[in-house]
Amino acid sequence: MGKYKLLIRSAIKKQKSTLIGIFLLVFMLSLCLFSALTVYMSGTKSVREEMERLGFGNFTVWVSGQPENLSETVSALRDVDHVTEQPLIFTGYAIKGSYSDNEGQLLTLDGTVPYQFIDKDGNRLESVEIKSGEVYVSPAMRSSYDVSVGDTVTFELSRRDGIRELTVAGYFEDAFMGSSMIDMKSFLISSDDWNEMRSVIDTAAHVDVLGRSGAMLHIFQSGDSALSVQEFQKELNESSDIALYTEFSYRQESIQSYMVLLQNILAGFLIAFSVVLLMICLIVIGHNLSVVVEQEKQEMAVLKSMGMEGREIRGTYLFLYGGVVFFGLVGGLFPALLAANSLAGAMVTSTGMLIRLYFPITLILPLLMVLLGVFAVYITLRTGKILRIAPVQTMRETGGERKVKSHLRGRFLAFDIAVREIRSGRRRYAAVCLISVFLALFLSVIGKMGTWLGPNGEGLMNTFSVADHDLGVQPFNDTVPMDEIERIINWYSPVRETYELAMQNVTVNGQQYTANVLDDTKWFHVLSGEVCDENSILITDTVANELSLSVGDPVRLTSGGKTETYTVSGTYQCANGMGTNIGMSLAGYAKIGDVSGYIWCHHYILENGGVRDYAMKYLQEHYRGIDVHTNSWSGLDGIVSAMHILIALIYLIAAVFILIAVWLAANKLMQAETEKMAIYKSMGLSHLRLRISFALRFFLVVLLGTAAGIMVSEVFADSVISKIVQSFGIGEFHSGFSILGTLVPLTVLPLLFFGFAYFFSSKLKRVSIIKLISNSEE
Amino acid sequence: MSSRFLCGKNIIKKFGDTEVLHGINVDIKEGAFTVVMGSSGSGKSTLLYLLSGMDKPSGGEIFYQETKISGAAEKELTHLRASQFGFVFQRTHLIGNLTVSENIKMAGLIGGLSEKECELRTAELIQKMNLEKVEAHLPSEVSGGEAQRTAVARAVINRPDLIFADEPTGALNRANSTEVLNLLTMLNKNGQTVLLVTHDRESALRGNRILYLDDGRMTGELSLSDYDGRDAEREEKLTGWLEGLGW
Repeated sequence: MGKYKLLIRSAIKKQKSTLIGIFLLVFMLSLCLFSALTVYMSGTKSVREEMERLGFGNFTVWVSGQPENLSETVSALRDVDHVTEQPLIFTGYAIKGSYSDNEGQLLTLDGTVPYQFIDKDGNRLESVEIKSGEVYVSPAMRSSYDVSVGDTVTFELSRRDGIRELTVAGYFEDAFMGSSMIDMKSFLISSDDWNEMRSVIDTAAHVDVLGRSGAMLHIFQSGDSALSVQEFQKELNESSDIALYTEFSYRQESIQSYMVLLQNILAGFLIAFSVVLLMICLIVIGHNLSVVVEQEKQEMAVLKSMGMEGREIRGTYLFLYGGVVFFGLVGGLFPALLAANSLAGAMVTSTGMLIRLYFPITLILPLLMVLLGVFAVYITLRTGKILRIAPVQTMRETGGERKVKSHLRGRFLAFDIAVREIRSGRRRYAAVCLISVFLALFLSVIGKMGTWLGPNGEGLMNTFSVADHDLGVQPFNDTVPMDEIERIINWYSPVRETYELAMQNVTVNGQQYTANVLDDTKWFHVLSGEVCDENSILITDTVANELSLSVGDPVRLTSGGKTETYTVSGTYQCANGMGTNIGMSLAGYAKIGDVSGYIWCHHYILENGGVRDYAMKYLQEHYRGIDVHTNSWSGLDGIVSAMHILIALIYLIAAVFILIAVWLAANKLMQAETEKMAIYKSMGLSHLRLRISFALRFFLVVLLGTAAGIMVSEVFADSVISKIVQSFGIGEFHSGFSILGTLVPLTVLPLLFFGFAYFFSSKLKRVSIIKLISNSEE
Repeated sequence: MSSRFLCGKNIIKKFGDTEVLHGINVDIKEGAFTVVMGSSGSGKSTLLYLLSGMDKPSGGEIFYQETKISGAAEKELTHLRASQFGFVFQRTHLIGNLTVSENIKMAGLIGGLSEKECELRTAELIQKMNLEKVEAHLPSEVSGGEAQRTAVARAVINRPDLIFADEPTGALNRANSTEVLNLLTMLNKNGQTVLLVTHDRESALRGNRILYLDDGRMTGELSLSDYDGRDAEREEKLTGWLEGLGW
């Protein structure tokens, strides 16, 4: 035992900085991976528990104009266990004078729904009594509307004496509409205000009324029901009149997906990045072990000549490096919890919920074991060379150098020396090159997504909207002067193209979807097949998967009691509602629905799209009875800022990783080359040129690695990202050339490596030429 | 030959609390082949590194052509090493991934010679040092003598004013030692100033001025005629002088 102690103590002394560096790398890997996993697992669990606590059923259906006995009718169905009804008011609103382009839903505490409240600092409040004149909103509105306590929210219930102003008193957690991914927002108000507002709607004249009364029906499937989720939904729609009154409906799973979508994207990327970090850790450990074994060859040979076995020497390295990895992984666990807490706190304005963090021990412990196993096997493999060291080891002074030919020019001496060093000692730089390949690949993919998303989320706007447009105006009654509105829009910018869109609820083979109806079908983004006509429809990839449909298949569509059969003419791109929608022509929809009502939204494509926000604001402020929107939605800002935070975070982690990796690699190189550096100095090469040449080696190797990583990304990134984003209803992803995905990694990575290598090479200043003499007798 | 070239006044060197050179005064003359002799641990190599500016004295001053180099900035010393000083070490210290000719050329490039001049000068030295057969070899592929001749060629490519040689034959066999010493002698005959540190009597015979260092103090100085092949009288003079110093 004593000999091991002695060996380990001596190795720790000799390799202190290497071991510290590896500890830091593994610590960061652990921090990144386990914090992402904690957020991911806690978020999903938290939303599920909150939905259960708030009484969301297997299905939640938002209805308006429903008969009083609708709940009873649905409850009576064979596969339904029970239905709870939560009354609400749909109404337009404005915050701090800015009109929302979507309706909000007004809820009140009726004693059965135990909402959770959050104060302005993000702390949970035990209980809150909502006073008259107060309103509680989702914290997600802080990111989408910059709402803070004390702001005014104006609700438009009726044109005549129907405007109500309430003051924001705090925030509450809404397990569905709380997320910034959801356009419609909930407002929690006192029961006095709610009743008063409801009476405004009920008593207002038909031409004046702007708000609508409705309800959320939480439908619970009975325990002995054998129906699948789709079959259950079909059963509801076909066996009751619920579809006639449905505004929209969501399965519990869909609601969960919406709520945790943003944080899952963030956690997903961090987990993927952790895999890259794991690869880097393995590369760095492998490289260091190779160098150490090479450097310690003679000592190991002496140990063997003294009777120590190769496997015993290897065991000490496994114990030492394995120990460092163990402490790094375990050391990262507790800070991971703190980091997860910060991440969850930072996400509250996007998710609208303060996630209750729990430590997913059942996932993390086995994962920890697996990671330790991977590292142990890897260390064992990389130290195999120790077994082959002969007891009498002779090494040539210059062994390991390869003969290569490259220029040596006076003017570019630092560069030429760097090239020579790289070419003659390729294996020494393989690790740095591989690290840069992995980092470049990942950063390029992230960059491509960032570019596709665009500075204002244009990428998402286009994939989520039915068809391209700058402005959309939907009149709700015949008093709206559309001619005048169009003149105003033209004043802001000439209108290049215009078409009309209606979004109507239909059931397709019994499943409820939104039908996007266009008067001009050329605007659909068709991905495969043909554009639809009066006898056919377009479906998204999501619908195709859900209903197992292909181009050419017949489908049965129902709306308002009428049913028709159509053919699937093709697939199209529209991620709205996570892709749960279909595309129809006006003539096609006219077969089952009423096309004469105020269902049409006039879409305008402007010559100068930059003025759309000004035009929208003007129209919202000066006209009532219309819905004006741009090709955007309130949650987009949240996604864009989350993506930007993610990119910044990943670059930051990458920079720290590069710093440590360069520190380790540069130290090892300088250790091995002290004599060479002293020779150059003795010939009169200044330490500044030596440092530049040293840093240039990293720059050149990383440039090569980064270029390779980016090339791999160019070939595979689009198809990989397409697969990822398909789960969000986005059918296609094309990035093309991107500054963030190509030029930024190509410049930032080599420069970071160069900068850090230059920084760490300051040691060269202290390399003394006397080193060359120390080998002589004196 | 007589002008003051490189001199040290009252040089003291301490390593921690231990003083290894105790106020040495030394004067190296231009064009001379000066040898510093002494037993192991006498401080002769330490003196060489102080005189060449590679190390800093703990006390005293060192002047090169009337310019004080003790305490000079690293930049000035780098310039001196690149263009005016040449070094030959006991172990050749060639750059392992450069060929023999590239090792020589590299020093020229660092010294500021043009590429063309470098090529010509390298070719000339390779011929002079009899390295034609190994010029494209790596240091690991040549013999000790060839490596040391390469080191000498590297030291002189920039036509330095002064060559510092620290036990250049210490790791060589007799035949190779003779070859290297012949080279240094030939260079000196052509006007090259050489400062050689050795504890080998055969090497010391090449000098025309021998300094003896004992326990960090300069204890003797001997002038000899220029070396011109084996000369019994010169050898006797040196041997007698060394014996007188307790060698």
